[in-house]
Amino acid sequence: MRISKLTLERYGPFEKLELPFDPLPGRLNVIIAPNGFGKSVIRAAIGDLLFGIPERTPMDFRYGTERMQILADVVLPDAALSLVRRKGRGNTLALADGAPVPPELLRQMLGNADAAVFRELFGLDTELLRSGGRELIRSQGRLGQVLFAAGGGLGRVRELLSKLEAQRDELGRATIRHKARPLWSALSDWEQASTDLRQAALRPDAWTRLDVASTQAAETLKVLLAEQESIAAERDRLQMTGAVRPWLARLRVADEMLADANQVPELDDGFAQRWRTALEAGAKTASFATAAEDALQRAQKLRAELSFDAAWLDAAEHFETLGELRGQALGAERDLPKVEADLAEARTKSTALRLALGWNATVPLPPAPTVQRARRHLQAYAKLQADKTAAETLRDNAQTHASETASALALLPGETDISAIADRARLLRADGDPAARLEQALRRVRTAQAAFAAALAGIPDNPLEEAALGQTAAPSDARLEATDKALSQAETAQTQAEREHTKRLRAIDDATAKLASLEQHAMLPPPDALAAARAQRDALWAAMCAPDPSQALAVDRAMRAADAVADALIAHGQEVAEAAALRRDLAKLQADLQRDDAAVTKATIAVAAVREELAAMARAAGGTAQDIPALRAFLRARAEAVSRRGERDNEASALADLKTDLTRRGGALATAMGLPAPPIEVLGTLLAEADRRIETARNLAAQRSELAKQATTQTRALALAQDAAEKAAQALADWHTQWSGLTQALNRAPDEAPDATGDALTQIEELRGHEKARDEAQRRVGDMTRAVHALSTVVASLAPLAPDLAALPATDAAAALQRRFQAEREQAARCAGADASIVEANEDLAEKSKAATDAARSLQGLRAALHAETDDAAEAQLRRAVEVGNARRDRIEAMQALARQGRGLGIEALADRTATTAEEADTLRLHAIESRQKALEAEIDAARNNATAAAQALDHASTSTDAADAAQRRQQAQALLARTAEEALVLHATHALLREALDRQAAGADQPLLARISTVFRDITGGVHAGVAIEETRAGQTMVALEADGVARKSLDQLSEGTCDQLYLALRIAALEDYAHAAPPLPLVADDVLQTSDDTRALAMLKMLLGLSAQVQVIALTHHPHIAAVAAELPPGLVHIQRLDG
Amino acid sequence: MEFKFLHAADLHLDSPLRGLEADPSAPVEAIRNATRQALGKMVDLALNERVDFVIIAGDIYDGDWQDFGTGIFFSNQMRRLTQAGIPVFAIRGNHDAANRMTKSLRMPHVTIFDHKHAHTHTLDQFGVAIHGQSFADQAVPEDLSKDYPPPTPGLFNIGVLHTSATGYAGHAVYAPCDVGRLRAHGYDYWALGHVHTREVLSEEPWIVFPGNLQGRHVGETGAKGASIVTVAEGRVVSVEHRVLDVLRWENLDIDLSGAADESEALVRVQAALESAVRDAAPLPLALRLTLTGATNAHAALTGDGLREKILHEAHGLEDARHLWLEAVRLRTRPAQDAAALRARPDNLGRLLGEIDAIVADPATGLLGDWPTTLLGRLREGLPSEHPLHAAAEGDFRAVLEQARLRLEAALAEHC
Repeated sequence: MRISKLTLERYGPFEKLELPFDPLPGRLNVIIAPNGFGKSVIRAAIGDLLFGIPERTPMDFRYGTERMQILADVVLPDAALSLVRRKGRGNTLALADGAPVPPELLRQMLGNADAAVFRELFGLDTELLRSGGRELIRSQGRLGQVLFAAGGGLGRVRELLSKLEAQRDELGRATIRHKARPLWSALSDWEQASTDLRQAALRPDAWTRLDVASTQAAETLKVLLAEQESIAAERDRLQMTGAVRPWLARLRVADEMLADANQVPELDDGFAQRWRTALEAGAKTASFATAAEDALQRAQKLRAELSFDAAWLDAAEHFETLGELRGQALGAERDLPKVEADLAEARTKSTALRLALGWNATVPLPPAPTVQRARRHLQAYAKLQADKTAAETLRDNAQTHASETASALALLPGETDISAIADRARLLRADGDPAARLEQALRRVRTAQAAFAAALAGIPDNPLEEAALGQTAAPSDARLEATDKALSQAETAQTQAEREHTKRLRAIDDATAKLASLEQHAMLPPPDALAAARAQRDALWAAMCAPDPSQALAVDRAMRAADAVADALIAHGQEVAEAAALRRDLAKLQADLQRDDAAVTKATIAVAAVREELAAMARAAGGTAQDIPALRAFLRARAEAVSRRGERDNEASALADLKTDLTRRGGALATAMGLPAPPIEVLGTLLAEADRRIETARNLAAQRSELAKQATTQTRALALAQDAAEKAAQALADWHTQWSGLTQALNRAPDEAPDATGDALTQIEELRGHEKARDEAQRRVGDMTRAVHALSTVVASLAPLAPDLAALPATDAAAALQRRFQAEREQAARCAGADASIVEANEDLAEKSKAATDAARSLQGLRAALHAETDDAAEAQLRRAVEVGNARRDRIEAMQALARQGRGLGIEALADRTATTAEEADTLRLHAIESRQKALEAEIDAARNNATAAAQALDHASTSTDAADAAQRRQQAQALLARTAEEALVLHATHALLREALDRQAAGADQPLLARISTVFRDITGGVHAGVAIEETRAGQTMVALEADGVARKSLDQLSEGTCDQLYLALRIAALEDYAHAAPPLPLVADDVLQTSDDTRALAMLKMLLGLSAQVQVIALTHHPHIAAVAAELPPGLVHIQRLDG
Repeated sequence: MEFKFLHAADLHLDSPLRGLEADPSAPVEAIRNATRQALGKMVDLALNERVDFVIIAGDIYDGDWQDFGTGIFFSNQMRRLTQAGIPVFAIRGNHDAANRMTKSLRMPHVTIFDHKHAHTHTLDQFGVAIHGQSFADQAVPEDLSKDYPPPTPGLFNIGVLHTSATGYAGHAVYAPCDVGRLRAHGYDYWALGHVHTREVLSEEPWIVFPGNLQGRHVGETGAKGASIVTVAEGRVVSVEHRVLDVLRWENLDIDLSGAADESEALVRVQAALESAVRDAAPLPLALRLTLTGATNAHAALTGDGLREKILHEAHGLEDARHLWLEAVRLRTRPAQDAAALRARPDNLGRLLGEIDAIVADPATGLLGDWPTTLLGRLREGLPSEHPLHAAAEGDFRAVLEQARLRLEAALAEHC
């Protein structure tokens, strides 16, 4: 970018300062101003213009920051801009009209430069030039990077170099073992794994030790187990010996017993019990026999002492009744008076009752069944009477109810025909409640209306009124499709034309840029420069003919300018030709561009026409859409609105139809009800009245029906009640008929009231009781009299047995006789008992004697079996037999035990074995063995544990993979270590390679940047110095100045201040040139950078700056007025000088 | 008469798998005792196939292996065979001879051929004569086969020999012999060992390297195992190779030519990894990856963490747990024409030219004493073939070539 005008307003010391600059390439701008005028302010202002005024700017010291602004007109390769930078926050750079600067233009202006780049590279004063130069020479800092970047795109190579070294050291430095670094961490892992491997590896001697230990442990265990087995056998033997020793003794005893048992009979198991039983039985039966004999003797003695009088016993039959007769006689003597009194009372009462009944003594009593039947019949009489009365009451009640129901039925109003009202009301409600239907239809209409309104409102861009919807028409789909297609084609053609146009513009831009580049590189004059120069020359020539001496100098300058143009044209003939070709191309491109413009215009017109067609369709449809999608959206919305309108109209029509129908049906109902036709709004009231009437009529009908039903029921009940009353009356009549027969059998008068007859029946029953009591008393009196007489008769007959009793009353005599007879009979009974006892005793004696005989015989048999004559001998024999039997059992048991515990040894062998040692010795030996066994168990456990542990150790050794695992870990660590080390090595090599390459490049004489610096430095110094070179020093590389011979060298310390400044300027110029090759350059503002140079070198430096200005706009500020004179040495027109003096 | 025998060699028991870094996501269990697992599978195979005897042609152990437990493990495995009535015949190879541990190891279940001279064991029940000779020590420069006994007439003659034959890359020369001479010796089958790649040198008669049981590094790729030899009527009917390894090694070259960027390159890498893992399934795969081709992704791949990026891609695989990345070798080139870069008239072109010149003729001290210093501290931990050894001795051309490629990528990317 280049600045053509800079205006500072309220900035620094300036309220307003306008600075015009020549923006053309190859023009040097020089501003001459005294110290203190504000040259550094101008340099800062350009920086602030481009990158913003700092928040705290020193440029507010006079006017503050209010309305502080910097304005500039800048020229870009493709554009000219007017910019304004205001003081403020954010992006305050704007175009003159306030619009933000487009990013693309900003990139064209600044590239990737920032304020720091401007400050360090483009905004210079003497101090910055020097410090920057020193930095540059050391190739350090940002400026150095910029220089390298400008020198061929190696701006980040130093960064790369550092990065490589850092990456290498990040893996691990070679000299410092930092365990956190991957290299050394891997080495540590490897070392640890190696240690693990050494420790885990099983050595043969270790294996041998394990093997021996395992074998020894197994052997030890084996020996101990063998000992355990041995002493277990010994213990077993001793235990067996100890166990069989008692059995052998028992066997020996048994054998000894059996050896002497020849005379002892072998008895069965129950013999001893039988013997005992027989002995006991013998003793017992003998005792019993003796007792029986004693009893016989006692009975015989008792019988001999007893006697009785047989005559009394012969008269026993008389004594059998005598007691009874005496009792009867005693009872009769006691009861007869009372019985006779009862007889008299009964006779009296019977007589009285007969009199009450109207009967004499001859009238027989009616049979009791007759009386009972009459009583039962009489009992039914009351019920029949009650039934008759109840039936008659029911009949009367039924008659009353029937009458009442008939009266109520007669009082009900007449029937009304409501069928017509009901039919019409039902018809009115046939499709639902009229009010609800009306409300629903109205709601549908409102909903449809709302949807329609929403659809209308939803029509994009231009919502239509309903009326407009009806007045417009949508285009057909075919027409819309055709228009869409036409628009698409037109737009495609337009796009194509515009693309061609853009392409052409780009070609023109390229050609223009190339031409500009040619013009810049070759410093070509403008195309018409030659013609202009010649014209000027000719004009001056003509003027020269006039007498004006100053014209000669002008002619000379014009001639030289023309020559310069001609020289340039000649020197750059090829470029001129190329430029001419480019210009021709440009002309052709411009012509093409015009055609493209026409094509674009034509395409645009076509597009506009189609769009107009589109707009017409939109207007016809009531819309304002400008494109197909918008129109389609509009039409879709419009169609939606039309559809919604139809739906709304349908709903409204349905509502009207409903109203008509309801009005018609309501009128019919009102007519049926005899009312005038109601408005549709009161149909509900009409229906309510109809419902009320219908309900009333239905209630009356229901009442009528209910009463009729009751009347029917009551009529039926009345008939039943009448029938029941008749039946009850008939039953009572039947009773009277039967009762009449009964009263006759009862000897009652026919006209006697039933109740009276009932009383008679009671009297009859009472009479029957009295007469029965009378008869009984009379019978008892007879019986008593006969008993007294009978006793007297019997006593008289027995008088011979006891004459001493004849004087006693019969009852007393009878009692004495009875006592005497009883005594005789008892004595006779005792005699008979004694006789029976004697018989019984004889029989018992015989029985007992037989038992004793049998027992003795049995004992005799048993004794014989025992070969004994006596019981004592038998007892002794029996004891021996038992002992022998026990001996035999003992022997069997001992034999069995010995067989069981003798481990298969025979008796003799066992006997021999037990005989070899004493039992006490065996016991002691067994105790010792058991003690040893316990100790041995502990020893075996320990040995077994040892053997197991040894075997496990051996097994672990044979199956362990610890060593292999450690080896694998070591391999893994080694792999990581190797990879890391290789990576570090490659990084180191890469770093070394790049460093070496850079060194070589820096040292290369043909290094372009260095060559350019040398050239500029040589030209500035007018050949006093041939250039510069790079030298290796202990601290690295450094730049030295070459003497005129190109061989001798001077360090920068040996150069004068001015020469150093010139070298720094040479460095800066070379850097700026290279920068300009790679990026859009900013204006170089050089503030008093020429102050240390004499005029010659100042001129040389101005020439260099002039040359630089072909690529970078150069604005030189100086307070030296003579610079203007020096600058005058430069070709005229190439230096734009302005003086500022306040 | 028909019989079968199993021919194996180069067990290298407990030899660790080399070059694999610890990686939390890698199939660690697969490499734990891989050689032991392979031997276990071999014994299982012999038992399942009901072979009549087993021949092991040397190198049961690694030469520098010191863990006696390895020998015990081998002995226990052999006991499984002898308990099943399968005799085992073995010779000591160069590694076994170099191993001091084996001298103390009893082998009650294996018939080891003597190292003093070749001799013969016969199996009368099968009509087989087995001839063999163990290595006396690690260095056996002479052709042992010449002194092997002549074939026993009427028997099926098997020669068991540990040899480098006529020479193989990556295998030291031990007991060299000529295949023609072996062929002419008159044996029916030569059971060879030492070369870790399966190879049939001849079928008339059969001269077979079965290869090792388990690949141990990326130089031992492909399926590994042993051979089942079936003999009927005195002639070999079949020689079948049975796969016994438990982890597979492979080299995988991936051409990234034309990959537009790093993302596309990594997509290709992932696809290739997936295919490789699938091919190796169900075995886990230890993989050395070499990326080649001219690609725009070259510079990005040259940057930090390439291995981690590849691992990240690998972790995205369905069978990621079956994959172990041994190494990633970057052999890609920038997509830019290297010649065009060098032809640039600016500093970049000149710098690349300088770099080429330095790589072509590097100064002896270019790398300074850094390699020597580092090697001095790492020497024990680095394998002998590590480039740091050569660099410390002044031979760093290969490293410089890598450096040149990196610089080319970085400069083309950044400048």
